[in-house]
Amino acid sequence: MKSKTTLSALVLLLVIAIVVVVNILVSGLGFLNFRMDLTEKGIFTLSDGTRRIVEGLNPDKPVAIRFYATSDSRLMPQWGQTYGNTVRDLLLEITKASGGKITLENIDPRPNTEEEDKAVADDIQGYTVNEEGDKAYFGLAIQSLDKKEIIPTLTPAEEGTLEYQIARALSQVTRTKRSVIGVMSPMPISGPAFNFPPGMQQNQQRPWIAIQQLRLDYDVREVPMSSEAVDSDINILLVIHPADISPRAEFAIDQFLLKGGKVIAFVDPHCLVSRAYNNPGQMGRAPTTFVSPNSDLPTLFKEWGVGYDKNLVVADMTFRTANNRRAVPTFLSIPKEGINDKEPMTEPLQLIQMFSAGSFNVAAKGNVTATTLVHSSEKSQLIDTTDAEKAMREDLKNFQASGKSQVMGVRLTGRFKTAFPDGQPKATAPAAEGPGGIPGMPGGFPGGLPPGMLPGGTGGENDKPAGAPAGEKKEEAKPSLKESANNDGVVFLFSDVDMEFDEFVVERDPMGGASMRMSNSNLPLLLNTVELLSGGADLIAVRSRSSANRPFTKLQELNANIEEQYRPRMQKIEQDLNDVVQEIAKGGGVKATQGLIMLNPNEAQAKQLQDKQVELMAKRRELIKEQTRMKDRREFLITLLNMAAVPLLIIAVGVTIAARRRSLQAAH
Amino acid sequence: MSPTKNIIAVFKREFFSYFNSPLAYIILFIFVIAAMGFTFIVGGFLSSNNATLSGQGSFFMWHPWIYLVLVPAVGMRLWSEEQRLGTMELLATMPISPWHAVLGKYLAAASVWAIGLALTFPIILTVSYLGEPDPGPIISGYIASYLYALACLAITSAVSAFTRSQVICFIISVAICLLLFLFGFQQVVDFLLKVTPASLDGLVRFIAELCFMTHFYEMSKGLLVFDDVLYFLSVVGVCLGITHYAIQAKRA
Repeated sequence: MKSKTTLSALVLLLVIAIVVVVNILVSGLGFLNFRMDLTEKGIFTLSDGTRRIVEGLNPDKPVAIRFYATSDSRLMPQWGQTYGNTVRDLLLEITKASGGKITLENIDPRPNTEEEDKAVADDIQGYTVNEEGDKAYFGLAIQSLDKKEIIPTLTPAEEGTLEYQIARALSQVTRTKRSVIGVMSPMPISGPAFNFPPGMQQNQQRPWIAIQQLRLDYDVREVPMSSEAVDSDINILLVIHPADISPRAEFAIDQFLLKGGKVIAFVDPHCLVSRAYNNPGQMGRAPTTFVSPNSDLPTLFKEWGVGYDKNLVVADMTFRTANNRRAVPTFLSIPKEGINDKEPMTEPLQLIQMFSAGSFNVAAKGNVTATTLVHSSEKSQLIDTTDAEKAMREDLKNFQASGKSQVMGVRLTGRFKTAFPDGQPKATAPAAEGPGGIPGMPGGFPGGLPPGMLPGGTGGENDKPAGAPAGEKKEEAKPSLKESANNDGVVFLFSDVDMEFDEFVVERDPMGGASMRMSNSNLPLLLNTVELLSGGADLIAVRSRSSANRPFTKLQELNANIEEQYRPRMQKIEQDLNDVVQEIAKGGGVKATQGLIMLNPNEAQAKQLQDKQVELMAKRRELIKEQTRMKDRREFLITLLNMAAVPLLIIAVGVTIAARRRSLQAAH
Repeated sequence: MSPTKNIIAVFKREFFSYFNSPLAYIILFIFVIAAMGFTFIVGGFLSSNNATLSGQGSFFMWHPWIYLVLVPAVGMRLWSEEQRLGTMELLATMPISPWHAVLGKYLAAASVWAIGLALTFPIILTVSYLGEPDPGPIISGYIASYLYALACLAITSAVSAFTRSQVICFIISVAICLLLFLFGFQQVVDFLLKVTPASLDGLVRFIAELCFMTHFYEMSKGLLVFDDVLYFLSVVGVCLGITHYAIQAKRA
């Protein structure tokens, strides 16, 4: 018998061991661990983009997320408590998805505690919530090694972009090297950062503020318009006003894109800034330069399915901007209605201003999808550039709304095909003397290194793309890419160049100081785009989340009904009260003008009026109390029904059964 | 008799004994009042303006607290009573295997809880009337809550198999459930992580992983994770195994 007990003890231990091992296999190693998100809006399901970013984290560089939320209900309002749960849930999902690469710390900063000091050290912004100066904190700090990203305040209004903000911060703190941005423009907008010889510094040679801003976070490199290839270490190519672009430069962009590079292009049918760069030329100093006012990427647009006319400008009567007290229909101030709020990147933008912008007519082809980011109102029309020029000074004569909104900013994603199926186009330059090619060039560029171009070579203004007949045979030998390698190709297109020019992105201090203020969301738009692209395709795949909040609509409705019920009486009392107050004031006035003679009869009347006022105020107070009581009574009724109905039922059933049993027993 | 019939026979006897005494009625009465009272009065359900039953201070998050006391109260008589009354020997002489008795009795107590949870239906009607709740989290919340109750019940069952005193069984079961509850509670874990040296972080997290709340939280909010369900079922399985062992050892 003893041995049987020992045996069953052993069996039990074995079973326990097996159960523990199975649990460890499933939860620790994620083996066969299914997850089922039962929420309607998939609140617990991370977007693919976030998941890929989290899974791609380097285990040697763990990320710490510190979530600061004051939980004390005296300090944190109800919305904060509710939204705090949402944020906490999302962070928990992200932490779980990371498989230990992210640690989450929930910190509850209360006044005068160590936690509060921590929040302050992490630059979390506190809200002062009471007269004692106590602060409530609600923010996030995400840190990996010495890099830290902070979301100083969290608000439910930003619930849509919450996941994006976190994913963005994660990709920021874990990025190992700075992204390289190539800037291609006929205007020297990204001029060398600092090395102007004194005296040579011309106003228009200064880099644009947008470029200076980009330099803070990225390596910015010039890519000459005459380039026939884009350096392979460039991650993002910013094409600004590609006026009179050569087919060979377009081919360079095409191959850059197919190779996995990201492209942001600003084209313009009527570029105002370009004029500043026209140089009449001086003998012996600088040659004549002329930047065409309109730009286009004709071959690429055709292949991408983007219809664009470089001679047509959008005139919009709804979004026009008042300029010198006159609204210019081609100068657009696009509010949130014209900005895509489904995309985390554009959702936070408030106002985009565009100055004689063009219109894209996108019919995405094949595996490419287009997403409109910025569009005009329906009260818009396309006018030609001559009319646009006139519209800046006088009103448009024959404006007819097209009833169709014009697309002015668009994102193309997917698998792109080459716009140059026959390989590199032949040079169209009139009889340029060919350098004869560079035989045996190291082929760092899969598309084949065009003859005469060293990677990153800085061609001069008159350095026309060289395509020599001698080089043509070699071109055929080097095949170009025909299609992008995967579905991660991304192109951003905007139909205005001026929008990123200094005067249109910042307001300078009117006193001539150095301080600047952002005048619209134009610069954030560019910075967001670049940031998104430097985070790779993963960040683009982070979608906006729908709100998890579900208010008690019926309860609000019921309360509104009660208020409705009391409104006429309330209004009546308010009206009476108003009358009495006016009467008292009038009485006072009479008293003042007529002096002592009228004082006595008025005093009694004034007293009467004052009594009436007090009485009315008491009545109003009573009415408010009664209204609140009605609401409370309803809430009490709901609570009582929930609490008491079923327990009473239980007692009734119990008593009935007991009574029946007793009578049965008695019968026996 | 076939095993199923045996289990059903034991189940019937046990189940009706709950409802033939005032015990089940009192416990269900307390459970419904407590669940609703905590939610509406302490949790401020109506003023939260949030048509959900999960999340901090809401309906499902109160359940573990209530189970802490009420589940051992239902389960304490499972085996202690038999031992005290000496019916254990009687059971031993019956031609049924100990497993049948263990399962039959456990299922009877479990169905008392199923009835208890079902009796909280007014809150579903209320929340659907007042707002537009998401049905998913409500379903998973009930599953989570029931699994939690089953785990506590299995622990009580195991404890009661070792003692003939219902009071001792109750106290020990409450203590075990409390420990398993507390060490998985987020605030407690955060606190422990703060006060223990960093080298012990892994241990704290491991212990938290073994506890109830770590596996309850997500499920109560609408996310069914296989590993959490498996955890609760494992606790039930292991505890019933222990019960079986204790019964067999006593019978031997």
